[in-house]
Amino acid sequence: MTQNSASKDQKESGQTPQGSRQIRELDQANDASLPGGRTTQPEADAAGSENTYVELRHVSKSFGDFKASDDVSFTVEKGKLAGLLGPSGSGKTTILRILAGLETADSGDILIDGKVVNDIPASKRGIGFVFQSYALFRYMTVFDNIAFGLAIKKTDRKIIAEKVNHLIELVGLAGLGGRYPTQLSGGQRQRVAFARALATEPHLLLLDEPFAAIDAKVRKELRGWLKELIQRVGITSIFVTHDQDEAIEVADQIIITNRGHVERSGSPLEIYNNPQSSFVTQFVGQPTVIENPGRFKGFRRLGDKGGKAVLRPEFISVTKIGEPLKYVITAEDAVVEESYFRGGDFELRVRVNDQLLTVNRPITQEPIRVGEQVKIFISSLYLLDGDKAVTVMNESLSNRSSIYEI
Amino acid sequence: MARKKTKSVIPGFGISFGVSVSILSLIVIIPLCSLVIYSSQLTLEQFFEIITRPRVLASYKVSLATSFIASVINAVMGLVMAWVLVRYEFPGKRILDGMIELPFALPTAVAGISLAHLTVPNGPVGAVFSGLGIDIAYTWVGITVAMTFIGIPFVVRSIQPVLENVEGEYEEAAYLMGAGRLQTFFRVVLPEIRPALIAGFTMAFARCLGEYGSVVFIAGNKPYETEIAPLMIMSELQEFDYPAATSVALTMLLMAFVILFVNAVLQSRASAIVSGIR
Repeated sequence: MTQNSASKDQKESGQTPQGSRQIRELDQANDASLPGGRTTQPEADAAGSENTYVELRHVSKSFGDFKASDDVSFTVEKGKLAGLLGPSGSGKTTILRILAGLETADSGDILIDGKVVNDIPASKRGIGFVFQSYALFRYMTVFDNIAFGLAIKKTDRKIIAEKVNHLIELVGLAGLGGRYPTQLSGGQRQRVAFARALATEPHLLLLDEPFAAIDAKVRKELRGWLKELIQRVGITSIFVTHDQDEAIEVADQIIITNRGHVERSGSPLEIYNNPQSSFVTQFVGQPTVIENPGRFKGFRRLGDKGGKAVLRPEFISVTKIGEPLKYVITAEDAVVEESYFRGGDFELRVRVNDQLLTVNRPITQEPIRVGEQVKIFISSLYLLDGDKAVTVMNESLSNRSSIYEI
Repeated sequence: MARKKTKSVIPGFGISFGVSVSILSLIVIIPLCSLVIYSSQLTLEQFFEIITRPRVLASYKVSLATSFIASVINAVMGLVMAWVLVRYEFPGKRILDGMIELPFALPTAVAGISLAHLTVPNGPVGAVFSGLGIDIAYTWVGITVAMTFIGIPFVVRSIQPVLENVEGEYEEAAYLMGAGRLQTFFRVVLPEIRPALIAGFTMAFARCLGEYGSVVFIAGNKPYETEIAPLMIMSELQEFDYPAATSVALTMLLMAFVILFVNAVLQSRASAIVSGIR
């Protein structure tokens, strides 16, 4: 992706707002000197502009004084599974409801398949919607629930039966068509809701917190199932979630919302590795916010003037005293205060310079006990600067001449 | 071999069940049994003779017909009122909500007298209707009006909590699948509230059948025309014919029982679907 093609694309679409529409390559993320883009604006995936299926342009919506959506713009490519991720109250469900036609935007355009659908009623937009509570009709059997949309359209009974039975099989509920929703487990209900949303053969599937009402164990299993099924059906889908693991695991594209506006849009890897905005940096991953990052070895050039930075466990490595250490000069002395077993690793809380940091150590390495003196090495951090965040590498890594190898 | 009985989480089934049965006996079953005992002083023939007297039969007809009409009106109007109270916010909503219960709180005689006063041909409301050729007071219409007044809280209060649980998402789901307003109402919302609606209807119906205080003032109490069944009991009592009074009462008890039984059967089916036990 070059700056060139991005700006050309901008001219073509005419409406896209970003002046700083760079999709930055991952290696660029490592360059601390690169100025951060205007992170408060969404970055549409320029590569997908020909293939764009859903587009929101400057959509705003207020409920009284509360701005639920504030100049929201993003695009989703055909056949992709996009996740709207944000803390509760960040306006992600409102965006979904505006897309579905359950709310009307105060301003802005909603485009589906290149057509402005602002004035098209919800039922004519070709949308399947899965509600957070599933909203299954309690007094209808599974079969009748799935058949509802078709029955409303006065479809021939035989065709209905054929389609519904196919869907029941597709979602793995064969033989349960005669049951009522209350006789099903949470996971099964979600499958019914999913089948019902697909029955009218929509081109766009919207899911509001699809896994929120399911217990943790089944949730993981259903995520994989849903992703696979959506790929199999080949339907463009947008789901809302507040769980970043869910978004990272399931989505092809993540759209991060905060206080009614889109902070960031991109692939999960892009967003994770190059969060760019201060909000996203403090939202994704397992962030620890530290004050005055200049006091850590390897980051002295940040000065002693304070400031804030975000550290993730994967930026920190921990070694026992006596274990070989690559960058001795920029390693810090630390004391292990807490240790939690997390399956594959131990999650350690270590105190460095009066700062508690989280770091993972694989169980395959020699165990570290609570109270032990260790060495830690911080390879990089995200320096927060206003609403931007930039990556700062450890001096040992960014300045080749200062590497002391042992 | 003897297995230890597993104890229930909530202790004292024995005690609480005993209390329930005692209270039920004291305030419901014993008074009702006295009806049977009084009536049993009569032979079966005498009993049937009393409960099939033409004047008594006419009163059943008046009572059943007016109660039924009043309950149908209540079911429809109560549903609308519950809908408005649940789904919309408007100034004075709390006051309106509180007023629903007034018919419970008001002495029924007060209601009857004021309704009669309003609806007599030269009363404020009656004058308008008599101009249209409709007499309210001292006719079936008047009886129905009084019964509607009495029965409305039953319907509103049984539908309200159920309707509150019918999420807006239900309607939205139906709407997204292309259902119009009427289709959404009849296929999605009505099935949800039907059990409550039936419960409200039958309770109002049973209550209207037994209503005495408010009705006698507006009914005019013309024999064979506007005499209600409870009035027949009252008049037998005034003639100190206790067995006759209890015979009529027993018949009414039977009617009320049948109505509530039908309700219970319908409810149990609905609750089986909702609770997932079948």
